[in-house]
Amino acid sequence: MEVRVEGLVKRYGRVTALDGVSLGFASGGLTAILGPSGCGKTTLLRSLAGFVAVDGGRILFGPEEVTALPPQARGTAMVFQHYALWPHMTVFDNVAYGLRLRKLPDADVRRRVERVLDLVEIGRITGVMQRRPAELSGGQQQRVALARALVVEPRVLLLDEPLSNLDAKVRQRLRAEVRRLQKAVGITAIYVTHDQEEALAIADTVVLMNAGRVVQSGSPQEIYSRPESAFTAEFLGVSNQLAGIAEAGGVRIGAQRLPYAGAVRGRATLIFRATDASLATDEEEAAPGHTLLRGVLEERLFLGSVYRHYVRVEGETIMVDGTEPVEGGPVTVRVPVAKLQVYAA
Amino acid sequence: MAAPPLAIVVWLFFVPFLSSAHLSFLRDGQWSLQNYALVWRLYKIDVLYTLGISLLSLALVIGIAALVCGYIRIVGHRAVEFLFKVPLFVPFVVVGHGMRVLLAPRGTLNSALAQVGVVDLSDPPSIAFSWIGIVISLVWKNLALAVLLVLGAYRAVDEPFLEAARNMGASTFRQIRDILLPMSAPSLVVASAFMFTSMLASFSIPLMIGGGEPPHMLMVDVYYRINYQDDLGTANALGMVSYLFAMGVAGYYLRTITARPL
Repeated sequence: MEVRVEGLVKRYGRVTALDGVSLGFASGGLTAILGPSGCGKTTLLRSLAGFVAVDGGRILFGPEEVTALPPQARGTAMVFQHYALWPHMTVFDNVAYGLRLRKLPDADVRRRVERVLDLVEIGRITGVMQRRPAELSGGQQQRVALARALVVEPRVLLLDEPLSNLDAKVRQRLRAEVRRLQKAVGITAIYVTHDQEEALAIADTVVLMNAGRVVQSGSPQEIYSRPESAFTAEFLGVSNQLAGIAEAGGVRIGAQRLPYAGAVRGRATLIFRATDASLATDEEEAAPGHTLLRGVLEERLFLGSVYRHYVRVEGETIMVDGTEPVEGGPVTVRVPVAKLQVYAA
Repeated sequence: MAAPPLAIVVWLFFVPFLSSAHLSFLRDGQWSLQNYALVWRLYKIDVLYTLGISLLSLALVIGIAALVCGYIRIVGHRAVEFLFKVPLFVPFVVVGHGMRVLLAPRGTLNSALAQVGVVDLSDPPSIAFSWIGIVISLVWKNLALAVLLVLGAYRAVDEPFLEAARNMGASTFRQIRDILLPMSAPSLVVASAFMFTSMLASFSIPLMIGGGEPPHMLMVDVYYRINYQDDLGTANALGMVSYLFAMGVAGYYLRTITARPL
């Protein structure tokens, strides 16, 4: 089921949560909606479910307009951040609820519940089914929530930060699970998250939102390697920002001048990732395709896989990751020219 | 520092209670079970009548409140919510009088029904001065408190629990029956306990709305026993019987609040 929204507007008093959002969600694909808190991503998801009445625009499921339909009539299924499993029902009753509302015969209900619990790999099904949600671990609860959503064979699966309540390890594993399930079922899925790594890892398409608008959308690779704005670059990955003045042939940062061939002029923001930069203690000739920044190494943290160095450059602190520790003092930061983004400030 | 409040409880509750218990076992200055024998002989129908009216009123109040609050909680309606809280501020005597005017044989209700030809005023049916009148008045008066308590319990149920059900296709009624009611059951039990004891002990409404002939509700019996028969012993025995029921409910209430999981 292809999903489209056209010019969606939602206001809460003076706050505009959705400011003319138009998007297409590919049939059978997983789209991640990414953005900082308050960017409108959850409002967008809730308006797709029908929990939020929009002030303008249209929502289409395939050829059918559903903008005015109540949640009950939309055929979406939502997985909630805090699972929202009904505490007074057993796991079986939770999952069976949607089927019983559809008045399916008991034998069918049982068969479909068991099949979907098997699909989400809940473990020993017969044991789990008669338990209450509170007796399960967070990861298992979220699997039950997924099962409850999938069992009714919804037209669209909506996931509202479904993994944010879990600890890092479980989150990583369930992330792969969600992806596997979505592909196996072939359902159109829309996944809201504020975690850029999660969005990049899980999605076919990433939509980045800010202040009620879509900032950029594309494949994870596109959005990561070709950010179209300082906001995108900043939001995706650990980034360094430096303020400068762009001129013909170069960008001035304080007393330093870096070669630059782009079209931006005047006040500009330079952005590059900590992982793309490297450190050299001695003044080195710039290797071809690299640009150099002089600074002072102030601090170093060991993060496990890398050492993160904090370097003071022209009054601002930037981060440079490296596999070898470098001692404090004057350093030269090398940045590949291709990885250095310049945006008008 | 517990002494002052303890003294107040002892003075205001235990002393009157013990004195009442004591008096209920005295007849002509002698220890005796005669008062209770009299209660059994004369008032067992009244005890059942009181229990029946209280249970029926309670069931109606909780049933109506469960549905009305569900509607307010899910659909939301400020005016409805306000209207249902009005009876909270109307005194019992005013309710009693209002119901007499409304439900009397030639009262407002029958007059209105006569206008459309449903009721024949030459032989009007009477809802007032019967158990039905008492039930209607008790329900009307207690509904506000019930709405207040039940709505509080419903509002403590987080929105996603309801959204998940709505998402699956559950109607408003199904959301109330399947999610709101079971999830707020402990609070509903507590609310029921409160209202049941207050109904058992209701006095002005049964006095004003109930019929002149027996059966009467227990508090009316107590009143007659003291004022017309000057029989404190039997009156206190009747009081002890109501205590017994109220304490049964209180015990249930205490078990519920202590057994409730975190």
